[in-house]
Amino acid sequence: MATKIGIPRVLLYYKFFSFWKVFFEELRLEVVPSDETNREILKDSVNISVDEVCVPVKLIYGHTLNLRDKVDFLFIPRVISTEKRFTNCPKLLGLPDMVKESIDHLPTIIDTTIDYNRESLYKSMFKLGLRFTKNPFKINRAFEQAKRSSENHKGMEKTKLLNNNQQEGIKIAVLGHPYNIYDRFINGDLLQRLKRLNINVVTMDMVSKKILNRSIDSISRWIYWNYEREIYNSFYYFIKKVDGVINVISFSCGPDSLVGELLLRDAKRYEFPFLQLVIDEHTSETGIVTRLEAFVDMIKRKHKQRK
Amino acid sequence: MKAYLGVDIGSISTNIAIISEDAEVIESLYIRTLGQPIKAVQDGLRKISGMLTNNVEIIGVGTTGSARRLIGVMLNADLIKNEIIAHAVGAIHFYPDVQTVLEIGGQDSKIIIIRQGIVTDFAMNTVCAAGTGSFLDHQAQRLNIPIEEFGDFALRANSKVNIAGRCTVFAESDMIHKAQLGVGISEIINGLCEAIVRNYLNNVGKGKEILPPVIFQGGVAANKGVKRAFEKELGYEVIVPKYYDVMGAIGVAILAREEVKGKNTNFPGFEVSDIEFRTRSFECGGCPNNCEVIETLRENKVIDRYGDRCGKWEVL
Repeated sequence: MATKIGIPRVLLYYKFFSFWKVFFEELRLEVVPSDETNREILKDSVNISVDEVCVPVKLIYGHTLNLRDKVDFLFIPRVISTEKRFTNCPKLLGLPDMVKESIDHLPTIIDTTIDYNRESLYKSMFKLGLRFTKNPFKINRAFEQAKRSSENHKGMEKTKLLNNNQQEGIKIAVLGHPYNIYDRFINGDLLQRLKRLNINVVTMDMVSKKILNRSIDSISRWIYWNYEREIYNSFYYFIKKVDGVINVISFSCGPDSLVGELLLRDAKRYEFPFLQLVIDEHTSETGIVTRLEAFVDMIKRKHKQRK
Repeated sequence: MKAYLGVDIGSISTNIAIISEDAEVIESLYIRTLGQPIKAVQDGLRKISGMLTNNVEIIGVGTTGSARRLIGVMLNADLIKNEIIAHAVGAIHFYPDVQTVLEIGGQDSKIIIIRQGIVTDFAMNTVCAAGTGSFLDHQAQRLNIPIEEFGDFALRANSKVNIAGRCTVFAESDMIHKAQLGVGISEIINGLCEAIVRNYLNNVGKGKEILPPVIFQGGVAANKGVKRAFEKELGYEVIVPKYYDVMGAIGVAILAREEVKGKNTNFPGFEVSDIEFRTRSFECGGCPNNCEVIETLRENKVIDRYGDRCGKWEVL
C-alpha cells in the first residue's frame, strides 16, 4: 500500500495544489486532500482555534482533523514567500507550529520552509524530496513534472472560466485570496450565485503574472504582502474591462482591510461599481445574497437607463 | 381601477402598499411582523382589502424585505426584489433628484447613493445591528415611554449628553449610568439619538459621499430626535417623506408595474389570506453540511423548498 500524504484543503492549497500533488505522486506517494469545507469542519475549526485569526486560517484545524486518521504524513508547509522581496501573512509563516501545538496524535507533519528570498523553490523541494527517495533524478523529474502541471492547470482554469462566459451580458471581476473565492462554503457559494444571476465572472487567475507583479506608482510605499499586491494590481487591470468589481475579504485580515480601503477609495474616485464582501464564520447567506442581488441590479439598471 | 400591490416584510414590520397605474399611493399599511411573517401578511392583506373600494383590481405584485422569498412564493408574486433597489426606487419616485437615501429599519440599516436617478453605491450594516429600530424599541420599553413619543423627548433636551453608541450593550449601560448620575431622561434619549446617528455614519455611511437632497426613510425616520441629529451631523436638511415607513413596499410595487407590462399577474387575489400556509424545516443529513432545509406548504402541499447548499431539494 502506498504511503499517504494528506494536504488540508485550505489557504495555499487553492494556489499550489496541482504542483504539490504531481510532485508527491511522482515520488510514489498517494495524495489525499481533505474534504471540501463543510459545517462539521468549520465547527471543529472554530472550537480549536483562537478567536483573533481570520476564518480561512481557522479552517486549517478542521481540515487537519479531517485528515488525521486517514494519512501517514501531513503536508503543512511554512510558506514565507513565493515571490522575491515579498512576504506572506505571519499566520502562514506559523501555520505548522499552530497546528502542532493545538492538535494531539497527529501524523508526521512535513513543514518544509518555502522562502524565495533565501532559496529557490527547486532547492526547497529537493530537500523535501530527499525524505522520500534517495534518487536525485527522481526528485528532479518530479519537480519538472509538477511545474509543468501547475502551468497547465492555470491555463485550464482560465479556459474553463472563459468558456462559461457568454459574449453578451454583464461582466464582474471577483477579487480576493483564492481561498476566499474558491472555498464555496465560507463565501456562500459566491461564484455559482453570480452565474445563476447570468453574470460573466472573471477572476485573478486570468491576469498574467507580469501584470500581477508590476510595480505600483500610485502609492508611495509598495505593498510587500504578496497576495494583496496581486489583488491591487488586478483591480487596476480589470477596472476598464469589466462592469463591476467584487472584493472578497476575510474579517480580521490586516492586509486585506488595508488594501480593501485603498480600493474603496479608488473605486469612488473612478465612480466605478465596487462591492466589498467581508466574510467570517458568522456570515449569513442572506446577507451575501441581498448584497449580490442589489449589486447586480444596480449595474443592470445603470445599463438599462443608459440605453 | 387597476392597481399594483407591494409587500415589504422585514424583521420588525410588514408594510403593504397599493398603488395606482400612475404610481399614486391608494392605500398603505404598516403593521408589526411579530415573528410570524405569513400571519402578518395575511392579516395585513385582509385589513388593507377592507380599506379599498370594491373596484380595485390587483394586476401586479412584488415582494421585498428579508422574507421576500417566503412571501413571494405565498402570493405568487410577479417580482421578488432585494430591499436596496426597492427603497431606492421608492425614494426616486417621490424625489427624482434625490442623491442620498438613509434607511434605518428594525434590524438593519442601509445607505444608498444615487446620482442622476441611478443607484451608484450602497452599503448595509455588516456584523452588528447596533442603533437600529429594535434597539430603540427595547430602550423605549425599558424607559416605559411609547416609542411614538421617543423623538419628542429627544427634542426637549436642554443640554448635550454623550452616550457610547458603538455597541448596544455599552450604550445601554452608559444610559443607565448617566441616569444614575441624575441626568434627565430627555437629555439621555437625545444623547442616544445622536449616538445612533454617529454610529450609522461611521459604519454604514463610512467613505460614502452624502450629498443633498437627503431622504431619510424606514421605521426609525418617525423619530424626530434621530432626524435632527442627522441634520446636525450632516449640515443638510434631511427630508422624511410622507410614506417614510412603507417606501420599500411602494418601491417594489413600482417595480412590479415595470415587470408585468403586458403580462397577466399570477396573484391569486386577497383570498390568499384565508388559505392555510405553513413552513417546516428539517436537517438534510445527506452530507456533513447538515443543511437546514425549509419547506413552504400551501394546504399541505409543498410549494417551495430552500436552504440546501447543493440544490438537491429544490426540485419539488
